[in-house]
Amino acid sequence: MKGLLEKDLRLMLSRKQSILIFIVASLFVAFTMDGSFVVSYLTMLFTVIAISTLSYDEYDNGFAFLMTLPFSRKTYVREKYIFTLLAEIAAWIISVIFYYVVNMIKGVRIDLLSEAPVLLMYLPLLFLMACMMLPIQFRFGAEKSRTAYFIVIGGLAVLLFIVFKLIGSGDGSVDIIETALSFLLSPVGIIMVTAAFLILVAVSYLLSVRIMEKKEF
Amino acid sequence: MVIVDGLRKQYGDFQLDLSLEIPDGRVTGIIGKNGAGKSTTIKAILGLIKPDAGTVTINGRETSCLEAKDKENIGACLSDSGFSMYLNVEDIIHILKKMYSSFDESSFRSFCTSQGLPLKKQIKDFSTGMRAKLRVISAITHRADLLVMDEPTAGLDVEARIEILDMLRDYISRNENCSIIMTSHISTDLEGLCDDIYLIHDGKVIVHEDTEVIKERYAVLRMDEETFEKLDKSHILRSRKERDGFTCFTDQKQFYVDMYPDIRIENGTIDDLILMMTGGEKR
Repeated sequence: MKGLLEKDLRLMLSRKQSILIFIVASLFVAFTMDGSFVVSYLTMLFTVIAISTLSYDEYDNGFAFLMTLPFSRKTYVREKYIFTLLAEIAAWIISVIFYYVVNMIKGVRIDLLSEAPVLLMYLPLLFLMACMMLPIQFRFGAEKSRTAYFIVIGGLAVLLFIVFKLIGSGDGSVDIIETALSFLLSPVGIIMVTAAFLILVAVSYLLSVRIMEKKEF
Repeated sequence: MVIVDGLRKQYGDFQLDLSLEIPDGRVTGIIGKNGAGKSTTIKAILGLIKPDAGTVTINGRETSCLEAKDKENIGACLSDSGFSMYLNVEDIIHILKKMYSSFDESSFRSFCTSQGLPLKKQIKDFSTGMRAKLRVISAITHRADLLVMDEPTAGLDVEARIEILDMLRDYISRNENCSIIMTSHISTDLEGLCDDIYLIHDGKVIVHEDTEVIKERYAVLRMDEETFEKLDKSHILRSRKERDGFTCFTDQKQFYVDMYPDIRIENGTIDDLILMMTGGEKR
């Protein structure tokens, strides 16, 4: 596992110029845009970069050799999830610092404590995005997974559209959304959302393990 | 010890169906034409593909469920796969150090220096020879008991080939109990290194013999048609009609040396073995 983390970190750093450009761009975003957009922007970018180490592993038939190294396929999958989460957390911390410092320079006072729930929400949300991308990438590889992403994201968009349409068509649509939100923020709601999050992560991980264990190189 | 027992794998029309045994301390060569099934066999030994039937075990453990500590004892070198091209040698040293508990960093570094591999250059900027050397060095620097090498010298010039073979020879001399399984197109590479040879054709083992036996007992006989007609063919494995007569392949050279002193008899080489056994007419 340690060797795999080292490999992915080094693969990520092999693109240090692009990463530097992303960071500079995010500083620019932090200066020009109000709100905490920079946090979601940089965190998402690093999550995607972390996932893209999988394409580097796959590139030039690299998987075959990689799988002869001393770790199991399950460990390989687990490491990808852990590495993605670590990259995401690191990017989140950096971007929150950017957000705070840049606003301080701009003379805007930020109450991090009151904003914490919103800022913290980016972490599970973006990790869920990673959990959706990883099995697709494991299954289809770098090239084909792009098409798969479009299909999945398109499907989700259609689903959301239908859901909103259904809610919107009723008379008390605003009430429904308000009730839903207040339920989600209640203790029971938080427990249920956390449980749903953990279940989704577990399903994604187990699916990825299954895909990798079936693969031939 | 590696045991391939009744391994079967189907790819479209091609079917691999073979058994091999590589005892500890042996250097075994696998030869055969392109598409004979050499790489598929290697992949099955490394657990990269799952057999349709049969078993492949290393020291009694099925290769499809090898654990990390079992894999630490294997050094693999594949012809078309290696570390990501975006890494450099220094990166690889750090990775291997964390992967293998018995990684020998100083020997890795000294190999890189002696073979002229730059530490800071990305692998994508390496020449074919440099990449091949790096693959071999990565396989032989963690004290593996088993080296599995698929075409380690393919596509290289003579100098690079000799250097790679020397590294392997040196490894064998320092690790007497180590076994090596190696495939190659270049028969002289195998002749000088392997204790025994498996010849694979159309997914099946058609010859398994000690290299010394091939050199001593196998021979190519050349003769005109008349001599061929009268020839005792009981020890002829394959024969082929040529423009100026017949070429036969035998595993009993001495018999023909004694009985037919007038026939031109040449010592068998691995190239002859491949050519005759996969191309000649069966007797």
